[in-house]
Amino acid sequence: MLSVDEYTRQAKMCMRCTFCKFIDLNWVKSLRFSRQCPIDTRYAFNLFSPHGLLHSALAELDGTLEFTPKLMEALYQCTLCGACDARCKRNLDIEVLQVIENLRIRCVEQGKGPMPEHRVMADNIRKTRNEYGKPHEDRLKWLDGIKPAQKADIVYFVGCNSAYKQPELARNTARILSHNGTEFMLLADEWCAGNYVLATGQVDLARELAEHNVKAIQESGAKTVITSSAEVYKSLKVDFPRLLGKSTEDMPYTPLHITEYLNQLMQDGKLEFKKNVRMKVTYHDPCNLGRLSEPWQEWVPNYVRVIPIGKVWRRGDRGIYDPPRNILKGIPGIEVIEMERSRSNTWCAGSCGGTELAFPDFAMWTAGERIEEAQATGTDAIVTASPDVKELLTKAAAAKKANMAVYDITEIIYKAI
Amino acid sequence: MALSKEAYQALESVVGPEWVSDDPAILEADHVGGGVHGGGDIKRPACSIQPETAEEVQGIIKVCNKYMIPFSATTTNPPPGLDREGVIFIDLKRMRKMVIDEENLYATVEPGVSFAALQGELFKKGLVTFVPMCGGNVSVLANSLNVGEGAISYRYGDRGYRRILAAEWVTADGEILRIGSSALQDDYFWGEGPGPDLRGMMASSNLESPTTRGICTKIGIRVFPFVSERLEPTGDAPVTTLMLPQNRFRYYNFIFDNKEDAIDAIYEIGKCEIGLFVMTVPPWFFAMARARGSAEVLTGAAGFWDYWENHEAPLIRENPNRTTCRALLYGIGSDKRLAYEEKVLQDICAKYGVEARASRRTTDETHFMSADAIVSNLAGGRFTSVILFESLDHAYKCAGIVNVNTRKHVPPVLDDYGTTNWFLPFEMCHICKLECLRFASVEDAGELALLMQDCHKDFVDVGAYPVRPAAELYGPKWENYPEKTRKFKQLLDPNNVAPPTS
Repeated sequence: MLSVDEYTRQAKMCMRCTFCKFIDLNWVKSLRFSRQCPIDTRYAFNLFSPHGLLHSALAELDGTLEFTPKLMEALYQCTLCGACDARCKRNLDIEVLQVIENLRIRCVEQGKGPMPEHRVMADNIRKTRNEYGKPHEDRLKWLDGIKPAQKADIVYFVGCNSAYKQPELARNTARILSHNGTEFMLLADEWCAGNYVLATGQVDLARELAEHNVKAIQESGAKTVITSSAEVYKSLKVDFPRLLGKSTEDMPYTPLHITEYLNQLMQDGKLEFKKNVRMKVTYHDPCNLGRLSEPWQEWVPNYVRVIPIGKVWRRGDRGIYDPPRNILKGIPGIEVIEMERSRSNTWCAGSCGGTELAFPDFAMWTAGERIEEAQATGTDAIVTASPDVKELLTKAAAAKKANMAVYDITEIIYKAI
Repeated sequence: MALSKEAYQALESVVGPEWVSDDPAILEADHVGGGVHGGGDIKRPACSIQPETAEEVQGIIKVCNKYMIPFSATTTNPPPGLDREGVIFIDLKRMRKMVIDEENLYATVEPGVSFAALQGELFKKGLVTFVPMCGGNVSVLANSLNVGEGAISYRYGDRGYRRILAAEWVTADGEILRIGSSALQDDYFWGEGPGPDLRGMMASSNLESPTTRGICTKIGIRVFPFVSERLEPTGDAPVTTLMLPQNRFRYYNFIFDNKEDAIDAIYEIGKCEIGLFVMTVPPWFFAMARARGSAEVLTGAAGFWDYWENHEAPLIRENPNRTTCRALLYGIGSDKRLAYEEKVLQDICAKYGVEARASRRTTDETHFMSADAIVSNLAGGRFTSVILFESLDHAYKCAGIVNVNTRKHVPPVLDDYGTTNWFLPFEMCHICKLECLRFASVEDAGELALLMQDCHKDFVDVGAYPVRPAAELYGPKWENYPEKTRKFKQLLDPNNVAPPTS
């Protein structure tokens, strides 16, 4: 988390140039899909924008602004999708996202935040180790006859959504791994990874979850952790080290998204898709797998003049963009057509940052925008790589009565093996 | 200063309750414009409002006049006139309609349409506009009313307000005025008549805010034919670019040992009417190019300063007069045209004993989308941009003034050895933009302001083109224009609700 000095410094560097509101300008192809910040696009008031929140951070710090309901509405409707951060770092290198995250942390510290729904989520996790408040002992119900190894080099970290809400996605992942002869084990006691806990500013609980899960991974003896959840992936790769004051490379495990793992098998000639899956699809990059998933590097602020010494930037260009695309393109019969906003320019589907919990209507609007963009490609289906995103996009497609199927990538892969 | 309940309800009835707010958090975020924090005596507005149509803008302005409340309007840039108490802040970015008439080569845009969006749509139709150097994210309408020039204005004509055709203008007393062809029908293809051409009253030419006599809500602007080949985007930010069709575009660099020859050669290039643009390339551009990378440590500010101090500065000290020029030659219409332009450029350079070298560069991120406009901030700290428009000769004279004054402020202002002057000619060199970037740390931003003041004092003596912040200084040399614009304002804004003139 940022020190007050660094938080102030970053927020003050904002010139309000508004680049944060647009996709990378070289990639703009239309008026309709040129904007990138969901809250800005929906509400238009400057408060509902990255630069508005950065200015609010300074105003809150110097006491000219309190955490009013309106400020909290803007702060917690922000999906923390990181689009602004990637855009800003094209030209300015300001840690926009970290300032907004820290503003949420300050909101919690002052007893104003998070939103009531986020408190319920946290209470659920404290009691049942999952965000939905379902019995902890049901976490393995998804197995339904699947038998993971007792001991293996690879751990499959399932995540709350796949374990409780969409168990078929967990089963797909397990069967895909088994199909390739990959032995995997489960954690003895997997807890919620806490992506939304940290995102909503509840640092203490997030740290507790990170400590527990990292300990469980260490005790398993496995060195690789695979997940098919973009949110869990970001927690494993970015949030856990950050919460524990380490860099990703110093963690006792290597996190891999299922698409990274399978892509590597394909590159090594160990995986080939034989079944024909005749579909024209577009791929939606989940923010947590794309621009938010770059390795975390601990850095103690150290400036010579204006130069941050030894800092490695996370600018959104090293996210997991190619592996899911390579896999889709490797499946016979599948044609992939890109949306205008893709890769680091992706439009957030609305499920990030805990937004959907507290502001479901806004999240549905955001997802609806994505469905319309997918429809503009002329494809039959939108494929993503996150159970949460799949769930929300499915609801939005139904609400819009769109003739657009929504798949998690594991469903497509499972069809192809 | 709070609005009366009656006035607030009147505003609600114009736009609906969702689009007006006096919440302190909304107002706090709206009271800062672009630029550094803490600059000027900026006050929180009394309320913030988001109209979607000209009729709603009209309704708001009528409320302002009825209750004698000042207003300020903007899209993305600093809101003018927020040094007054109790202002209604009108944010026009919900007005985002755009229509392109490709047969008649014009587009109709509302204030919320960005240049990047317009350019993206134009490319699909084989058309182009010139995107200002401040970035493709800015409003086409607002920027065109103000200055609105980009690098390719060299070929397609300078000054945004001169490409405005018909316009829809809500005057400061709340009348909707349609100028040009839109006065007769809902079509924005023509600017002059019926009656006197009032576009000059509406546009500002950078002398003052374009909202001082009302709010322009729609304009038709000229667009231009372009190559049919697509400019394809590539890369993930921060390294994105547009690929230029190689049969139609080619960059050339040519280096002179002295500035005078460089200026003369640029003039000749303009006279021969070749190139999509031609300019000098200040050495800091090269350092900036090194700063833009992906994830390596030596990028960003670190990359910039490393390259500046270890590569550029020693070269400059060796010969501070060395001047690099760059032209993008353009085969408009055919490949043969590109070959012709190359021959002409070689002939001109040969006259000065200089070789024009074709660059291997096949990309652009600056001139068509202006995606890296704000990159000069990447060097960290602050910069001031002394911008002037005049002839190339005149710009050269002014650059000398900037260089002399800069010496008085070094340190803390960075010693650039007089090399950061950027000459960017427009209209085939009939006009020239001079931009001089001067860097200092965040803490020393005040010194940059003093440098600006010193420069403006001296610019007046050489009859430099007036700019807004120093209107009173330049006024006496330029027919007392601030006094005249004040009179126009009194006429069109009897209740003085619009922002002040300068």
